[in-house]
Amino acid sequence: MINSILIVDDSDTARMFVQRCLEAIGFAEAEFTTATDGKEAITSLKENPVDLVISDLTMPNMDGEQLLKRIKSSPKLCDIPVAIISSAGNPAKEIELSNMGAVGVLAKPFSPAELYQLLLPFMETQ
Amino acid sequence: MNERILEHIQLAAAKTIESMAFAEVYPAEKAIDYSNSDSITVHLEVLEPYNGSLGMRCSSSFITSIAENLFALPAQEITSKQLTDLLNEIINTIAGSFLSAALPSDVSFKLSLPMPGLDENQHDDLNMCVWDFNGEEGDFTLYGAGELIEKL
Repeated sequence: MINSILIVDDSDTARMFVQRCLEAIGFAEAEFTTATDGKEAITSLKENPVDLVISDLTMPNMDGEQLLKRIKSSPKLCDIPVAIISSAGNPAKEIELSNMGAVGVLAKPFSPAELYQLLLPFMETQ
Repeated sequence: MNERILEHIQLAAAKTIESMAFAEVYPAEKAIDYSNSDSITVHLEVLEPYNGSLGMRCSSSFITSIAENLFALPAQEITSKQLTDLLNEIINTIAGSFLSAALPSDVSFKLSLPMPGLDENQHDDLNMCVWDFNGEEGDFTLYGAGELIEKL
């Protein structure tokens, strides 16, 4: 059950767009927190673990790949599903991120329907 | 104009605006005249695999309308920072979508951060492409120039 979601992106617009999509596909009642880069996300997660992380790939300080690595290597955080959003079509990178434990990689621009398909396995108990 | 590039840029623009603004866009039949409206511009550089730039011009009302829907705020409460951030996100997404489609799947690309204004070198570029779009939220124009356009 997804009750809390962390959205990580250095763009206000992108964070707002992701939140709007999540609200549209059934997560309107979830508690949303945000971070502007991976470093801020880790700090947030240490204090307040969530049920789902959605992170942009390209960010300053700590990017989405490094964030994913940190989360998956942490005993406390490793079970949190992480979805990555990428603006650069790079199939090899997408496979690499999936092998690192990302539940999926979405390419921008994506629609709420595409986000829904990605998160469907986590929604079946919503 | 290279028909393949045209098709890819039109699809990238349509997908981006439709997903972010839930508004349809379509290629304009004639060039858009911005002389009677406030317009705002942004561009980014394509660094790899080819050099070039992609830019965008739109009316202030176009970007404000999208921002109102996205941020769920009335126009007067939307800051210029939010408008700039939104325009940056749009050009970045259009560029990424365009290059993902136009390049072979085993070729990665690198973009600069978006910058205000249009690339000053573009207007001297004989290969500069201009693509105009009409849409439910208003009109906008995309510009492409450099080695990028020659080699795609």
